[in-house]
Amino acid sequence: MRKFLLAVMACLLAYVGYAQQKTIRGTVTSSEDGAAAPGVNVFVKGTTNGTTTDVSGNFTLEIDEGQNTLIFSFIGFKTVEMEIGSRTVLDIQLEPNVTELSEVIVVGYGTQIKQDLTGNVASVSGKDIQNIPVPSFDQAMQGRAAGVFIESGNGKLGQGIKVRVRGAASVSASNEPLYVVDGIIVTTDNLSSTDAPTNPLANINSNDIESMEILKDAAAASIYGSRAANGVVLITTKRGKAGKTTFNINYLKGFSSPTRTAKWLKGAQYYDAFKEAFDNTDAILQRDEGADFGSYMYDEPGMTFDDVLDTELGDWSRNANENWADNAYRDDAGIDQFDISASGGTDKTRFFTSLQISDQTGILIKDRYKKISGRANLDHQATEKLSLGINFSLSRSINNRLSDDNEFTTPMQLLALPPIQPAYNEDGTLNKNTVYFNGLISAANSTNETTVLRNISNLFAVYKFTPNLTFRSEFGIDILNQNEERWSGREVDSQTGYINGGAFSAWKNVLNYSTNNYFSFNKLFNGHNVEAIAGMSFQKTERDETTASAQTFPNDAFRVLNNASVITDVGGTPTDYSFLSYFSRVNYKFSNKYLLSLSGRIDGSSKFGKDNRYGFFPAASAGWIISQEQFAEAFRNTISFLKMRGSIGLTGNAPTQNFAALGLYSASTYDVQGGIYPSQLANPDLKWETTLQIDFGIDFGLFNDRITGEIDYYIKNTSDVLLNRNVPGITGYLTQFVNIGEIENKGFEFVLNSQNVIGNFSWSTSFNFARNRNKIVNLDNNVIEGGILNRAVEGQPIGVFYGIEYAGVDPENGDALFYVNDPENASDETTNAYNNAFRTVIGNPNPDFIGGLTNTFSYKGFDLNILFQFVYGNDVYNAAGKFQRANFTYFDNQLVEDYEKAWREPGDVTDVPESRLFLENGSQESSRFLQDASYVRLKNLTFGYNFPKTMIRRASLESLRLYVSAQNLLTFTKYDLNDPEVNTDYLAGNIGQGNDFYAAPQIKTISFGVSLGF
Amino acid sequence: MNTYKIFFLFACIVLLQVRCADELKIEPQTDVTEEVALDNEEAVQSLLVGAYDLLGDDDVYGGWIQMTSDLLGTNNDINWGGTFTDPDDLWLKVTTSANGQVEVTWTETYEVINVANTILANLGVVADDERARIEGEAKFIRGMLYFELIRLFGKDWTDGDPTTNLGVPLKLTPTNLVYAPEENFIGRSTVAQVYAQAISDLTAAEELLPEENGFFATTWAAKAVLARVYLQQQNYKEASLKASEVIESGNYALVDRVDRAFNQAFNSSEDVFSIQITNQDGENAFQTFYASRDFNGRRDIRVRGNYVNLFEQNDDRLKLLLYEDGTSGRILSGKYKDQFANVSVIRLAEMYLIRAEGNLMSGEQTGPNTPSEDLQVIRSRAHASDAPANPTITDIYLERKRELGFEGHFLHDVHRSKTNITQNANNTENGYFEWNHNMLVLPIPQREVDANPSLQGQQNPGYGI
Repeated sequence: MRKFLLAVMACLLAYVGYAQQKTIRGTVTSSEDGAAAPGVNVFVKGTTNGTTTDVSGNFTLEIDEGQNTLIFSFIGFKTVEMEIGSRTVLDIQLEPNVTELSEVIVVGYGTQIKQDLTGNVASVSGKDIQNIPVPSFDQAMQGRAAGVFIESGNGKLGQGIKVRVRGAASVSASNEPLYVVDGIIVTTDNLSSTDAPTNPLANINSNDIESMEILKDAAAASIYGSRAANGVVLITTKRGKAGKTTFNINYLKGFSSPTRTAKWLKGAQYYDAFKEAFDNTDAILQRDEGADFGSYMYDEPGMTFDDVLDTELGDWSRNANENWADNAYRDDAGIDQFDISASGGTDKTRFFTSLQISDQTGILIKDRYKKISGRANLDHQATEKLSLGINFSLSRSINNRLSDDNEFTTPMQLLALPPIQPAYNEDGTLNKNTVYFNGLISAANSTNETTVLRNISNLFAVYKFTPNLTFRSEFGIDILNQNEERWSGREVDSQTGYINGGAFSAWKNVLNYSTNNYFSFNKLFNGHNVEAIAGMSFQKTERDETTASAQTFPNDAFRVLNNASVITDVGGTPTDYSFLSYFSRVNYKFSNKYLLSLSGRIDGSSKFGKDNRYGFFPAASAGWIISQEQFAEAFRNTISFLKMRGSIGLTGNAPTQNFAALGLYSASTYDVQGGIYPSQLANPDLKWETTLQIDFGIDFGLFNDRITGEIDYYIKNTSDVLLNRNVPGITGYLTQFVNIGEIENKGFEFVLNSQNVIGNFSWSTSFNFARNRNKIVNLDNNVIEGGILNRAVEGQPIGVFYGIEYAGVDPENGDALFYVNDPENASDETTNAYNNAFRTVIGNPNPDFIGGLTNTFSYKGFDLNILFQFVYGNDVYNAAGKFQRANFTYFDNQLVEDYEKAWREPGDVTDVPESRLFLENGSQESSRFLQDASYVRLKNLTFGYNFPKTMIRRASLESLRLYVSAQNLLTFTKYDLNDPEVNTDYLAGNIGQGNDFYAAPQIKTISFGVSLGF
Repeated sequence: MNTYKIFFLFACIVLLQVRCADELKIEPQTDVTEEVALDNEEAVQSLLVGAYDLLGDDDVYGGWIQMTSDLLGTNNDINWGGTFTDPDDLWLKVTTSANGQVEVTWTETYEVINVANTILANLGVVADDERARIEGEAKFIRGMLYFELIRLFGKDWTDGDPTTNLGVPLKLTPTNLVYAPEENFIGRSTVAQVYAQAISDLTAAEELLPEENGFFATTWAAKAVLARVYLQQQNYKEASLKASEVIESGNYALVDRVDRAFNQAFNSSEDVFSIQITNQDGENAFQTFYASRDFNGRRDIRVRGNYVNLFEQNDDRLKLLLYEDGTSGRILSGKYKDQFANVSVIRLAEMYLIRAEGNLMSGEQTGPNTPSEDLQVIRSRAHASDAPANPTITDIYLERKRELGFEGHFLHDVHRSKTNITQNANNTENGYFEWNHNMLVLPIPQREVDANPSLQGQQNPGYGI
């Protein structure tokens, strides 16, 4: 500030001090469109004598006789130096300087130039996620936006994806961001009828996306009020440009395989390993009980190991060597995708249309996702003042789904079966006599198909009252229709509970309609620039659903619900909710240097308790573009852009449940009579969660913006946390929705973009890094559990693992040891009696930091893009460890590693206890199954060649590109099961994080594509 | 023109606001808010039906109250062989206060008790002619469940001093939907207080309930539960008296073939009280865990040789109620094959055995039969050899095990008979458990201790703090 004052003083002195002056006049225009360029800095080189251009681009400057060079500079344009010579009139055109900083960024209800932002917005270009072979665009965003943590729970197609913008701030409400497509808030409700969520966003064609903006801080997000606390993702689809109609066709074919897989025992090895476990147990029993294995376990003395196998396993053979993993993974996994788009138009009417057909087969048997989607975006200039348009999209997907990870019928559970049990009998039929259900029987005798039909469309009109004042009205609909059909034949009855086959059908329809109506005003006068919006929005979501299940089919050829003889259940919970909102924002810019923004939203919702119907969410932010100051001229060769900004504001998070505030009675049935029962405690005060977020940031550009970057520090304090708090069970209820408690997220984000080499050969780098610290400050002493060992508890990050701490193996006798961890009496004491140990915090599923590094190279027609993505410091708990790494307690196949490393004789130092059939020895839930799951992944590698125009013009083509692209090509991690990016579907939630339980590894896809434009 | 257009636009927006503000009041479609739920007799009657539905929940009488007793009280009679670790821990006697099954048994049972409390608090809207029955049914449900809770979560009546041993919290008023936490921080009453509450509720139910009431509770059902309560208190005289009243009522008769008492879609002639299951409603958890895969079961509970060897070759209960699983060769109980069969909670056969035990132990004879004759009724129906002329208490316990096995009596019989049990496969305790071992009493669920400050420091011994 002092420097600034000095500069002002210097200006004044300069003005007063000199007498021998001449006056220079001129007009500055933009070379792009010839329009006047207001606000351009004009000053005399080497001095502080200067001025700025007015609204018409005119300037007048008194200069001293000896001064001979003028410098014209303006953000977004290249700086020009001009000799004055003898001229007194200087008209000049500035060329735009296209850099990161001059990009137009979509913000809530408007756009802004990036360098004018006072809030924090991460932007991902649609180009970056083109043709990435994943079902949904959110997966494609992984590693590309700072502070946005994206995790797909496993390698099943079409599943729910976890997205956390600057950490999790809620225990019982959603932690997912709000999604807005072309101004319309879209439905993201999970409509799955199973515990494994589906992803409604998968129906949006990522190749239609022009840009994605993630609004992270309060200044950017609070315009979305009570739904913005988890960040807001704005998706803008492509629009047509006036000119010749251009067509683009793209085809890609990809081949998929699992990223990483564990090594399991093979047939003979399995037999030996379990024989050893049997012998170990037998020896222990003879020693301690005076009884042999058979008499102790079965009251049948003298049983051999083979007798035990006969009793426990069913059909087995010493010669069998079944590779169950081969039965679970398919080798023809991959993707076929075809895209065609056309865009163009006239000055008055422009259009963009596209069609995509894709067919992806997953790495697990029966997993498939097929999609067809179309779009038409139309803009029309009706009169000089009125323009209107429509965005229309329609898509249909068919997902052949798998059972949840905790079911015997899911392919990954085949890996639990012993290799000495063949999958097929000698006659080619499936072996029904396996120790656990043979999931291949289900694969052959069931279908599970989810069909989604989705239409996201909106109509809009913009009326320009004056050049400064416009009114925009939008009406949007989002119709999401999901139909789940499951059939299972009689062979699967033991798993489904049906008698002679059964079927399930769930039909769900979500109609979400909304309208946004707002005025936009902007005015520029004497260096003051004011942009303002004010308006209202209304949104209502109406959800209808009917589910039915029935059983007993005549035979397996009949598979639909109405072929079944007995209806076993009819359900469905139709429900509605609505939001009514008023919002406004004022951005003020003075002299292109000083930025100020105020915004606010009032949100009313049917979801809030009747005593708290409306909430107010204000935000304020300010920025100072230091590099525009004249004193910064001295550093301009190095620091071409420098801005400091800060923001503070409130955002909210509405309850997920629509009627969480009401005391309710529900209907039930006993025999064939109708009953009622109290089902929910009331809370008329129930409201949104409130997040107070403070953000400080620095945006910079170096060396004429060759290097640009952002540094942010933020603190998010969430209070009135929506908590489904435990109430004593003796009340007849388990929980009550309350606003209680506080959660803090604070962190640091760093973004750097650099054009390392420019020219024929070019190389650019983009790096982002984010660290977030989550802490539950106060939960009113509630402990909320989730997952297997996860919990939300005060003083810890959300979802910490709480359990018994494994202490390794007693070298003397091979017993598993556990730390006692007596909270009353801290010590390093260990015990071999699991029940004598106390639970403690043993790990954290939240990463310490995340980020991504993209390097892009191009040379002539070749281009190479390499994205590394990393997640560091999170733990994953293998909840199936108690079966898969259970020291041969039972007959589940075990990891080779555990067989090799098991304790065998006194003095052995290992962390794998002695194997003991039927005796628990370290197989209990403990930190033994918890691992650091940090990873670095070569997320995407694309190598392409664009044929020279001269060559392809002969074929009447505008462009021709061949490319090869690899997704998840390499993964570096210490996690030793499958893929470290995992969260088993049936346990996933706010608290249930970082659990592996027969979860499918992620998908590695190598695809080959061709694009042509004409 | 412009002014007109702007005015029109604003008029539209104002109208829209008015319309939208109304749209913020949305009521649920599938549930009813408290204000309208309980304002008439029909609603209270529906609430009673709702209470039975919850009573039949798989974690309550749909199976887990009974299976918990059997898994804890098995004396090498059954093995747990499933992947669910909560029941496995019960069976191995290594239960912790975090056991999920124990938690839901507690919470779901109290959920039914709250509904019963709510009915009792809303009898005002019920007409006089229905009030006695509804009150009686609510008290029957509450009294019976407190008895189940005290048997599982408290020390046995004869283990130490029931007037100082801790029982379970007695919650006797409905929980207000507008919730007040402090009213619900209730600590544990003593074992004696909980028994007294159960007896008081069941005695009232016995008076209030009709003799005929479809498959809902009758005065006979109340007497039958009272017989159980008195028996567990070793109040043998009262136990025989109540059991005899049920037997002699003439309302019930043993089915001719013992297996026909099970796997029935409708109550059999010997069902005194049972949970109704249809193919659309209710969950028979017994069937889930006992039945073979051929019957859609998980066959997690297998019968050990010890139990099989209790029977003579000709005993129908061996021939008709135990079978070998086709795929694994495991021996399974045939009492639970049909997944839509009713769950018998109290059968007439049990009343004969209670009367026999009561008469033998009290030395008095209530009813027409001697203990030997009552045993004979059960044995001859099963085509077993004749009952001993002078049965000992051991004979009666053995007969209970044969007749009532897997129906939820193992633990309570172990407690009453002070039988020490062996649990092979538990290597930490050498498999030996005294009848009053800490692990034979369930822990107060950790969740409850965390949510209810009054329970802190009241955990059962052997389960930490």
